Amino acid sequence: MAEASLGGRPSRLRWPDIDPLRLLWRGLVSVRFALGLIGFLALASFAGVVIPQLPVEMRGNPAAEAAWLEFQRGRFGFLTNPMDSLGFFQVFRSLWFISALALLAASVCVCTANRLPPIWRNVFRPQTRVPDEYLSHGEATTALPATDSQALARELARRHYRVSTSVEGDTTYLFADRYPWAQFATFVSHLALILFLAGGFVTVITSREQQLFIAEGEPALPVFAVDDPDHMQVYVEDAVGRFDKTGFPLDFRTSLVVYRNGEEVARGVSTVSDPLRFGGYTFHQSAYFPDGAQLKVRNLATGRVVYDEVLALTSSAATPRVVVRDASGAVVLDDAIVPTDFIAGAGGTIVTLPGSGREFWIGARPGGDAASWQLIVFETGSTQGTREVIGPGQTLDLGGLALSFSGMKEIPSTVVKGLPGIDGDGVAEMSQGPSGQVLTVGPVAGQALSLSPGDAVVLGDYEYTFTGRREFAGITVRRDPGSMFIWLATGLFLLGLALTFYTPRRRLWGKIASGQAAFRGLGGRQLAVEREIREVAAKASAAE
Amino acid sequence: MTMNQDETPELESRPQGRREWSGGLRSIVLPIGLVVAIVAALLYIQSGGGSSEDDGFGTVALPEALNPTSLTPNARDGRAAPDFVLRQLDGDPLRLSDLQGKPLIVNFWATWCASCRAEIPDLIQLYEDQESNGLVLIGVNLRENEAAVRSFVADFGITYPVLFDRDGDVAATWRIGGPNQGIPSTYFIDRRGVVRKVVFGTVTAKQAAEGLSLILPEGG
Repeated sequence: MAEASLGGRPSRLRWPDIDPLRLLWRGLVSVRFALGLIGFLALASFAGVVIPQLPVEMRGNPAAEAAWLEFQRGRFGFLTNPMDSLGFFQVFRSLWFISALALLAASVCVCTANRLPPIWRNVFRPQTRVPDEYLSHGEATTALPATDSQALARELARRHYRVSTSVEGDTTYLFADRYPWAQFATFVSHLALILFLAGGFVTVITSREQQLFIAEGEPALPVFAVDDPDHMQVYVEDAVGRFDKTGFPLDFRTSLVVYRNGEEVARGVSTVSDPLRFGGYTFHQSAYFPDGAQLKVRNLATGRVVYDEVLALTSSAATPRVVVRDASGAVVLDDAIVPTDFIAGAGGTIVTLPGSGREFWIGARPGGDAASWQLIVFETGSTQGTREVIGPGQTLDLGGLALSFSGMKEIPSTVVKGLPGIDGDGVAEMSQGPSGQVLTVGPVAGQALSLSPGDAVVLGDYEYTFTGRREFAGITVRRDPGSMFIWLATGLFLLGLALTFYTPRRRLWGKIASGQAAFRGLGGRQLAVEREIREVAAKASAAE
Repeated sequence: MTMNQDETPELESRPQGRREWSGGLRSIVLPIGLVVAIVAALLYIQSGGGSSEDDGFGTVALPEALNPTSLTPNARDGRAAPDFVLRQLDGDPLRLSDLQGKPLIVNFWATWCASCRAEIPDLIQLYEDQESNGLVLIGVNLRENEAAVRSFVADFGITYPVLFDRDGDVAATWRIGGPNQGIPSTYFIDRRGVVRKVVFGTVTAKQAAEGLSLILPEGG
């Protein structure tokens, strides 16, 4: 029909030419097309490096994305919206980038698969006989005096050649083939390339990462949203940080339990380099924080717990260290004064001096110089009592007692919200007492509560218990199915290289007749082929 | 081998440089399909290839006779509450529609949710204050370890029934929307089983009073 419509002239476009699959195949096996794709991906990757990309943690959060985009508007102006629409702020997740990667993978894959038939033939059905013209023309032919074909075959076999001979009259034809299967190395290398691309693709599409910050004893925290199919919870049994004398970290490790749908599914120790693994996810130790404190509050009227939190003491408070001695020089107090009240720029608290029963408000405030501090001491409940300000290293006479200001010390601290018994925000600070950690919380009913681990202190309607110091572990939960592809691809790539470089395949054809022998070969440089032919002939002659 | 007259014949010296069309199936579909199959197999192996089990708990169809609205059940104002069967702390199953006829509050929570921990003492108080008015309050715990939940319930002295939504199926059906991955989410449901008020986040005293006024019998 097509030919008739063209006035009987043969049509230039035959049906097989417009076969869409064949057209697609032509594109996919085209080297130019592949090079174009690689160039495009290189440019896109460059753009992805140069142009700021939306941070991973903001993905899927419309409010965060909008805020980030607004920030970029100051840089890219009116181009921001078009760039966002085109995916320039998420290049490696954009449809066009992933499509180009997939196309390149398809190109490599189709190209490789279509080389299989000729290579297969060449390996398993090689051309064992070549025309005489092939051996009588050209510089590539090595001419030698005739040698015994059996001796030649033996020497070639010794050199790992597979040899076959055929005789026609007084002419012997010889074919020798060494490591023909090494031609498959190209498939191994190309498969590695495909797997590299597939690995990158799978990583972009399916990899997940979540950062958790969990304290010992805290309820198991969810890794993903409760409606996520991979919803899991992680419980920290024990977080350990080891440091040397200079404070240099030596080791971080955390004992973890992983739950899925309420069932324990994994348990083990996670470190920075040796994660706990479950269900394709790795649980790496990625951070450590030593200063947590678990505080429990019970309502005395009902007996019920109304507050049970692990406080992360992420701030620090400057505390003055004071030493009080009695008239005999004995130390009656040597402690850091943890501030719970803030008066006129000074942070301090009421301290009852042991043995005397006298109460003082002791606090510190920055001096004129930011590096220096002043200690403020006044006796409460007495208008005639001590009211003094001293500097670091100075001593104050308190009438039978000598108070020395040893200097300032930073202690972990945080603001506490919603603590029963406190109106508004409170402060929690942790210090080292004579018999262990002390958590100071306040103001509760106008007072600072000093809590030792395990001791319950009743104040007002509530009982406050400092359950103990708790360490926090930063856990990175990650799944990257692409990494499996990358490892496999790396192995295949190395195997392909090894096959190519360490299995020197070579193929020789020879004709021995009338006192002369002619050889020609493929595999390696021509000079090397000729040298081997001459060596083989010489050894064969010597063996005759 | 290719050879023209008067030319040195050349063998097929670099067969790997050749590409041959062997038909659409062998040249395109097969190679791409093979790679896709390998990738899919590796992904399947990595995913564990498991399947979930149906333990009989989760969302169930609300019997038509128990739906006072002409609309499909949906956890939204004015719609019949989606029905479910969940296991209680004592192991017995509880079906939501069996509670029809009583004013009901459904609270989705978890021990790791700070807002939930903060509001639970108030919910206990609310439940104890209104129990005499027939109020039923149920706490649906989301996908947590039973031992941890038991310990929490004992510590906080929760007196209302606590149910386990082990695979999050009910939470998904109810489309919870609280600030901490969907929780806390609280639904006030009247005696006919119709959702009258939804609170995503901590329930304030004002919201609780409004919700109760919508579901409790007059004067309750």
